[in-house]
Amino acid sequence: MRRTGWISFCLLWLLPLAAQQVVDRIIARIGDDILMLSELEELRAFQQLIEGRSAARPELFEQLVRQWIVVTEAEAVNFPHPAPAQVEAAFAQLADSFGSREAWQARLREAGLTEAAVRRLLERQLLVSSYLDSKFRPALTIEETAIQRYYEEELIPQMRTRNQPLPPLDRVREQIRELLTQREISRRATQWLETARAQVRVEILDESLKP
Amino acid sequence: MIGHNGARGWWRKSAADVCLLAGLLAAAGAHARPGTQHPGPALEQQQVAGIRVVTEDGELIAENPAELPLQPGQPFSAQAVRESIQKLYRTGLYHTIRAEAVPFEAGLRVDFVVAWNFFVNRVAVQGLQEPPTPARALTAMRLNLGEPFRQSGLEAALERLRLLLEEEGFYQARVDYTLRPRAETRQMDIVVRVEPGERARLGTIALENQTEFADRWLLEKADLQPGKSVQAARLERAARRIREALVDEGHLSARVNIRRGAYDPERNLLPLTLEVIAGPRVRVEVEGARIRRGELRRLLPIYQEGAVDADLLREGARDLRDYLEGQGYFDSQVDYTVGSAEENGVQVITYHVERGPQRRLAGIGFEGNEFFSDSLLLSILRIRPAGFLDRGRFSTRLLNADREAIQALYVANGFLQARVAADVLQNYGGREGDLFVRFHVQEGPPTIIGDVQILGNEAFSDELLLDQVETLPGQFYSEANVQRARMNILRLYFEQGYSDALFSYEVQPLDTGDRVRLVYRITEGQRRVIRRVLLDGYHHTRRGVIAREVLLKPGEPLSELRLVETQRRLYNLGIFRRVHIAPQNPEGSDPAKTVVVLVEEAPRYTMAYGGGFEVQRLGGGGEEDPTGSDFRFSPRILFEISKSNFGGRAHTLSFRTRASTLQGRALLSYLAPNFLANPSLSFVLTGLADKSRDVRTFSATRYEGSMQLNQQVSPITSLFYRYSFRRVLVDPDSLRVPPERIPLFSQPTKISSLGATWVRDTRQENPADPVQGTYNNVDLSVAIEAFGSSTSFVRLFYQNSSFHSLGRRLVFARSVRLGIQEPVGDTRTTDIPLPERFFAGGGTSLRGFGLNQAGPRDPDTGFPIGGLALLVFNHELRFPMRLPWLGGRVGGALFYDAGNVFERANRITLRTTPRAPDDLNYFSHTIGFGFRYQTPIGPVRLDLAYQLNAAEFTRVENGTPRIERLPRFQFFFNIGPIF
Repeated sequence: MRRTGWISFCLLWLLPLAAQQVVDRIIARIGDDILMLSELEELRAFQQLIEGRSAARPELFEQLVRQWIVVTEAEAVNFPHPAPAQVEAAFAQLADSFGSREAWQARLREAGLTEAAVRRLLERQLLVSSYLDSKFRPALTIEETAIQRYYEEELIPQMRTRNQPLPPLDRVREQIRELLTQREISRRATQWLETARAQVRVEILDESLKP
Repeated sequence: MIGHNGARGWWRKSAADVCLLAGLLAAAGAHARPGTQHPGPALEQQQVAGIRVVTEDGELIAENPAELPLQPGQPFSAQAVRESIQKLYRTGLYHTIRAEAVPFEAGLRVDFVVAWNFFVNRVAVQGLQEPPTPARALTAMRLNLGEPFRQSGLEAALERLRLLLEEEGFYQARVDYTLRPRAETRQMDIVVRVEPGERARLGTIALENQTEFADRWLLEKADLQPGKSVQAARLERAARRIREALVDEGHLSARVNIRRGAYDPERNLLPLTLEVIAGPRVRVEVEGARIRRGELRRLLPIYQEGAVDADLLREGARDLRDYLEGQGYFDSQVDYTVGSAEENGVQVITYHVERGPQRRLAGIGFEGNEFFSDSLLLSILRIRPAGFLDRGRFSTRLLNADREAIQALYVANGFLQARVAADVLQNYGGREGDLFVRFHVQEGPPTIIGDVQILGNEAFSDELLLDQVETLPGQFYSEANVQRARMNILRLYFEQGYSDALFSYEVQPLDTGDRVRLVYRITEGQRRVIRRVLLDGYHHTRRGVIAREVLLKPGEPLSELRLVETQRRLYNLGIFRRVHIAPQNPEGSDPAKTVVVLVEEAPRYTMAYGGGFEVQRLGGGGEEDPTGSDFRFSPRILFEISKSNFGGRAHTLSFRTRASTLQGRALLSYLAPNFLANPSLSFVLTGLADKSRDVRTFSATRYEGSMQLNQQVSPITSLFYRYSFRRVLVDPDSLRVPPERIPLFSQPTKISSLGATWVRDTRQENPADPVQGTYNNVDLSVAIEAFGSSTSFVRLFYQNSSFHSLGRRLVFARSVRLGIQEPVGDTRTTDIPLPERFFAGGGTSLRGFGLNQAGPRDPDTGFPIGGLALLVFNHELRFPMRLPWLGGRVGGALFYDAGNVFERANRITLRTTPRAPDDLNYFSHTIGFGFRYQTPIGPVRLDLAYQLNAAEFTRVENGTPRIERLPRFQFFFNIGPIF
């Protein structure tokens, strides 16, 4: 898939550039705002970069809509954007995860992304995750029984499957607590997003994006 | 932490495990679409040589627009392209936008290809079967004038319309629409067609009855039966009627819920379920005071609201306390207890009253106040001194509130250290139970404005803005003045198109202690100007008639105030049912707005008809009694037809007629406002035929034609110029004066006159019952034989009325009326026709006389014949009263009337008695008392009058002279002011 996309991408650029080329357009109206084709393509390319594959266009579009809902609410309440240092740290971690600078650049070229675009996407993702965290975490309390249950029903079987020694509960209690907190945030955020999505008016202008 | 752990592997794990980020980024295994239009790094390396904004047809809208993030001479940037599209979209002008890159010169030209937005214009709904009404359907759809047209918005609107139709029983309605775009003005007309089908009928009505009443009783109250048509109003009425019936039975907490069942499309039936919950019966008792049941029901909100809760019970206790305070029980305390409903199902609510002694607030005084007068301080108090049949209002609670209110008034006006104390003197003036309240005011030094600073203003200079405010250095600081400054500054900004302007202020103490700096902060926002004005919706009206009233002009700032004023002027024409004015694209960032004026013409023909009952109190007690009073009753019918917007010019042609045994009248009139395109001029043409008996001396038929030009010189001054032609015929059988005495009275009379009236009216509040101001009226008319009149005379009438508020809700009203007629040329005084003379007497002039009974009388018959001079004085002192059962709704008036009708101007006299028995030229004096009941159309008056010097006169009966005396007592019942 990766090669096909790369060849197509190259072929596209080998064609003479005599005719006009659509470089961006509106794909949907959402409330009083718009979603652009370039945003959709960037998200697809980012998934390609991270996972080596991306979702289908309709699913990709829905992810974009959900991101828009979260970002719009965060901006409406003046939630602070991630600090530049935070974004740089995330960027550096991502780049390092590819082993070498050359491999990193090659993957960027393959995905069709610039470093500026990756930084922008990382910042957006950080904003989304930190806003959801701040929205739902304060109201959460993880009971001791839930920690106990996770330790017994999930961690112990996982460690046994991997033939790894069982850490005592006291040593992993806080990590389990954070894991369960993350899960619950995710669950509540999903619920909230489903409700919010049903209320927002989206007018899709690109037929290929309709489910 | 989310998104913050190390190796690539963690990203995968986290995405699968917990993170919403995974949900947003989850892989789905699909291939990316080949041939994507994403620019890619190669394009990013090229230079932008040019930028255009063009339509699909290639029409150039803009070239190298400076406000876009993407600019020529810079490297191509996909992010800049995206931001440029977003910026273009936010202008609100474009429906769709795409960016195309074309090789151009040494780089790229980027074209933003746009499609224009259309904006909602006329929305019509056809085919409705009421209810719902077209207006309600339009409101439900919420397609607002000027907003961008969106297909999704239209579909949502149609869905709301369908829901409304279902509410009204149209479950099978079909809704379709037609769009009519107007490319040159970018307006979208929408015509919605409804095929309602048959309205559903009620099916089975199930009852969930939680009351002690039979189902049948409840259903009778609801007045709902299977087979009746489904209408929202019918169902609401049914629920309300059941509830009211239960409340009448004492179940104040009754609830009724009507639920619709599943609609049966085959039989077109809708089943209903009525859930009725009675709640306990409630009985209210009062201990410690006797209050009539009717008064209790009026006072206690549990009856009005039909519910029982703690808030309403507390409010009821407060209302009872206020009522008792109004009766003079200034120390009354009211509490309540709520019994249980377990025994016999009745809940007893008991209000416990401790009235205390009954007292009277004799007066209120002030000392120490210099800045504010006693009368001004009195006007803000809630305690009230006693008046006529009124013990006043007082309590410790009210006294404290009033003390704080006075202090707050001083603080708001710059006396930040003001202090107010109050003393209550008991048994004032030696009378037990009388109180006197004295307020002691320590004003303290005023706070002075040391400096005024204005920040954030760019459109207007500091000097211009400071001209708008009253808060200048050296003046007292006053919260009220700051609010006025805010209002004036914002009005200036709004008028200049800054509709988003914001104003805030800060008071900063200066070092000197009693001086402050005022800092005004202004956020101007965007200025909006008018690009063009579109007039729409008119069919019969001439465009110029509408355009003349529109104060919005292209190139000028978009002012909300002018928009509202334009709307008011168009409504004032009286020819439009609705006037909508809105800018297109109101939320768009484009500052130049097209303003749409959309009118809906009212039906041009209106017809009215009706019937009634007429009572007239005539001056004579019988056919032969010239001094008494006679009542005549008669049925009356009336009919009117008019055509407005005549000729498309907002003129009105109307025909009115009314008939009874006492009076018949037909009137044809033509009214032309904004005459000669001048908003201060209006022109009226009338033709009148009238037969009436106003005076017990004759019956007259009058034919009259007139032309009148009205000029509104200023808001308080008007001028009227008229020509009128009158032909008066006196019915000889009704004549009560000998024809040989006054020869012309029995002959047809022609009066052709020119006249002018000047009116100056500064009456404040309700013109029908003013409390301040003056009213002046001077009327001059000239009838000359050269104009076709059978007699020549000059008539002058002058009225001056004034109204004075004396505080404590007292009003002194006075009026003087002077009228003089003089024959001209060969005309003798006796030639002036009877109907043209002055008459006075009755409830709206001299109350010491019956209707039109003042002045000279025929020496033989004794019936009044009017006079050529009139002098009338009226004086009234109006005051509030508090009566049993009526409370404060009825006021009173003491009055004194003086004057008379005189034979001629040179016979005006102040003599209180006539010179001779047949000479009724004397100055009458009348005193009296009246009751006044306020209504929205003016006071209803009952006046009792006593003439102190009623005169005698002689009349000849069967050849024998006989002395008659005018009655001293009169009473009148009228609606409207006396003057």
